[in-house]
Amino acid sequence: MKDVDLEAALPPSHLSPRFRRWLAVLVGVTALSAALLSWVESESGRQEELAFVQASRGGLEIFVRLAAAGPRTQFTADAQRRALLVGAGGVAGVIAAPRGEPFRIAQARSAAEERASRQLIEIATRMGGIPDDGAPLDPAARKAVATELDEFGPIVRRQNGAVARADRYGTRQQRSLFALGLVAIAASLLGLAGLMGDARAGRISLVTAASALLFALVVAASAFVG
Amino acid sequence: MEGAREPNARRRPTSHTTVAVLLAVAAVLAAAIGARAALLADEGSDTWHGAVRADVKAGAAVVEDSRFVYGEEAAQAFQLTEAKLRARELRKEASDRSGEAKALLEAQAKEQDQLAQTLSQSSSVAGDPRYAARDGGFDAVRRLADRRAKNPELTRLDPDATEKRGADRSREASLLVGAVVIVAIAFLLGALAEGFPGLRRILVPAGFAIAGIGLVAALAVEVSL
Repeated sequence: MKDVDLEAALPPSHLSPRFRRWLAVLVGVTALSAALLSWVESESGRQEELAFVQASRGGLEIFVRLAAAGPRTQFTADAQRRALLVGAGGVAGVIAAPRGEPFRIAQARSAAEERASRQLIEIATRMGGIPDDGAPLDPAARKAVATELDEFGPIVRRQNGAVARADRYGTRQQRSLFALGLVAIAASLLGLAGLMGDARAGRISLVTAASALLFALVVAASAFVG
Repeated sequence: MEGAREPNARRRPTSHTTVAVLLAVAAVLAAAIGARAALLADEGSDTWHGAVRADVKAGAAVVEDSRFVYGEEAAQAFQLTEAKLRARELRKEASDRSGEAKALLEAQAKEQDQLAQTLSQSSSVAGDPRYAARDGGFDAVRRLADRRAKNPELTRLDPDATEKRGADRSREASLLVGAVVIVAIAFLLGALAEGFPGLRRILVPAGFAIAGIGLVAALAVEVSL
């Protein structure tokens, strides 16, 4: 029995000039679409990742500024409260003291404590004050420790903006990836059409490939709308 | 006849072969540039993650230093200042009095002196003259600066610069993928040359030229960034 090479046994595919032209155009457009979609996918992925990094850093900045400025403001509040208590303690002693010598001693003590209290309030305010630009601190620490509440609004808005940007580019990346999959299917169908030739099956393959390609481009374009 | 034509056919590539070479060149170029772009994109991504890590490290250091200085050292220093001030004011008040009042106020001043001494002994920083503020109290900012200076590797961290470095790498990768699009145009021309034999003379050289432009663009991106 003679061996038969199956591939050689198949009749050569016939390509009419018209079919050949369509096939060539579609193959070229497929290659170009694949490259373009790869670029869109890569660029969207890049922008998405950058936005995520910026969103993470924004969240971190909010936390660091809150946590670094908190001890300073807490210290100021605690120290001022403590200073007020010194003065209040003196006054309370006067109120509680019986008439006579104990009352006069309490008054003297209260006067001393009130003076101390006033000075302590000033000192507490200075100690917990915002470091100025000339402070010998590194910029990162100065910025974090000097944070005030009204600065958080813009930071939060910037952080939310980065998250929204990541979402937008993420959608774009996913759609371009789906479109790339469709382009790959189109490429396979075009290869099949080339093998089958200008027969009914080949034409069906060619039309399906063209449709897949068109759909891929529509999907990719939809990522840029809205 | 066949035998006579064959040597010529071997010497000169047919137009089909030229088209095949163009398509192969375009495909190989696209693959090579794409591979380089993928490496750069990965590098950019890693650098971005490095920026986040640096931010965490730098932020944690600032938070801990601030907590320690304001939450512990400054609080102790303020207690010390309070004791010293109260002692001074009580003594001042005692100097204007006599008898039992003077003795009592001086005793209370002494009590505050003792408290100040105990606080000074328990903290090496609270009573350190280096941190004594000009108008009284404790120079918390100077203390914070000194504490920060103990870990210069943490203060030198610059997450913004790291992020920018990552962005540069990533942009380079994106531009390289853009160069692949140029090479893909060469592929398109090669494919069209196969479908439109009449235009082959124009399409094939144009395809090679565009593939060359794609290569030059990729090299320019590589060199310039």
